[in-house]
Amino acid sequence: MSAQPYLSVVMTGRNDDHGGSFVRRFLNAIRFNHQRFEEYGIDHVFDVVEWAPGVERPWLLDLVADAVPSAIPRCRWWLVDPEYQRPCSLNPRLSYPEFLAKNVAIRRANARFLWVTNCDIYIGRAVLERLARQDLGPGVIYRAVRHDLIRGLDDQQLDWSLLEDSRNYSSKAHARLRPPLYNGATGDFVVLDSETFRQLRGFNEIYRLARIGVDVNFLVNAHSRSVPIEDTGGVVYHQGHRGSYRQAKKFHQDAPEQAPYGDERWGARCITYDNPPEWGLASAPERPVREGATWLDFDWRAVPPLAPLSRLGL
Amino acid sequence: MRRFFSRLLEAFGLVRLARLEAAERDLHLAQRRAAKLEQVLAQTRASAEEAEKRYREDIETARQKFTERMTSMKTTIEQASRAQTLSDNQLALVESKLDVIEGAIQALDQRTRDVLIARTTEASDVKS
Repeated sequence: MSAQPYLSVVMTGRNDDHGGSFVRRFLNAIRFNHQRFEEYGIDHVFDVVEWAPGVERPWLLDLVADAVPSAIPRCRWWLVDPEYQRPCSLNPRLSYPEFLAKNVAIRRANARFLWVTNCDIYIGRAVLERLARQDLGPGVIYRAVRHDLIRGLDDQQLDWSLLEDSRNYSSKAHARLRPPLYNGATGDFVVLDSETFRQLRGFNEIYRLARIGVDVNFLVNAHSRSVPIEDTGGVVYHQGHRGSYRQAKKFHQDAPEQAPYGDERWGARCITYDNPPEWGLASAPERPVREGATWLDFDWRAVPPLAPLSRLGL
Repeated sequence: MRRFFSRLLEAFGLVRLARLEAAERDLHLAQRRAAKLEQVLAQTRASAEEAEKRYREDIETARQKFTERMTSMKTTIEQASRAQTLSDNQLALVESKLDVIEGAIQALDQRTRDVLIARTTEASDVKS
């Protein structure tokens, strides 16, 4: 791995079975993507934020070391003190401020380009080819279609013949991305150069009441600042699982304000934001805990302001 | 006798002078009628052409007015639509800010309660 890798895969997670079978999905994605990057000769790193790791369960980092040891030299781990959870959330039902966690890595990643994604996303061949050619330009947000894989596939034997067989897709909901935002499963694939990501100050961390919609809100914010958005023409694959948003949505359709991911009716598709300069827990004291792993200690000075309303706009 | 004489003239392709004069009068009358009819026809044609021209002009005027009105209505609708989108967005922004304020108040309330509960617990521990 070079001093500045070409690509950083920004992911977040927590070993608490979030969303069901979390560890299995997480390890599968790390293994699959790491192997593909190696095959295609893509200089990569995984910038993973482990939010609020508990003492009763092993760190995800240790699980990766056991399951995919070859990926460990390419891992940079950011462990966020559990004490940040309560003061950072404005919605007690949100157990996991996913995008604030992603901002922690976006702020600190040192690769040229960042692929911000989720824990159960497998990269597609066309995207790999573009990354291998290194033909991505700065100042452009790149998007890709997501295909949802049906549940019950043998996720230990994932290969192209299985991933590229449309009979294994459970939905065509995101079969086409439409301009100008090219949104749809945005949280699974946003690629942008790290410099522009930092100029935009990452995802909205002022409206900390929902996880849902924060990804498309990032596109709205970028679009309002004239950052072009393009479709790579490639796809990524999402491992179907119990407890996914698509399933959970049905359970909360009568009371969306009670949903554990926040009320999806907020103004994500129109409001813009300007995160404070300390976005991404910039003021959190950092402490190396082992090679490639940094612990972010709790400090009230790092906690985002409660209600900087003037930083929300249209 | 007159009938015989008439038949004799017919045999040579001739008619009596009185009959010839009557036929000429009829012809002249028919020609005058035809000329008059032609005149009426010309007038009617001119009138029809005039009516058609006026009709086309009326249609064109109506079409122009309709187009202008449609353009004006379309502009009004577009302006209204933009205004509505802007109001919707403003409303969404205000609601989002209210959400943030509500969340902040709840968070502050919880933090205050945590501190006060801790103090109360400490005080009761000291008393006991």
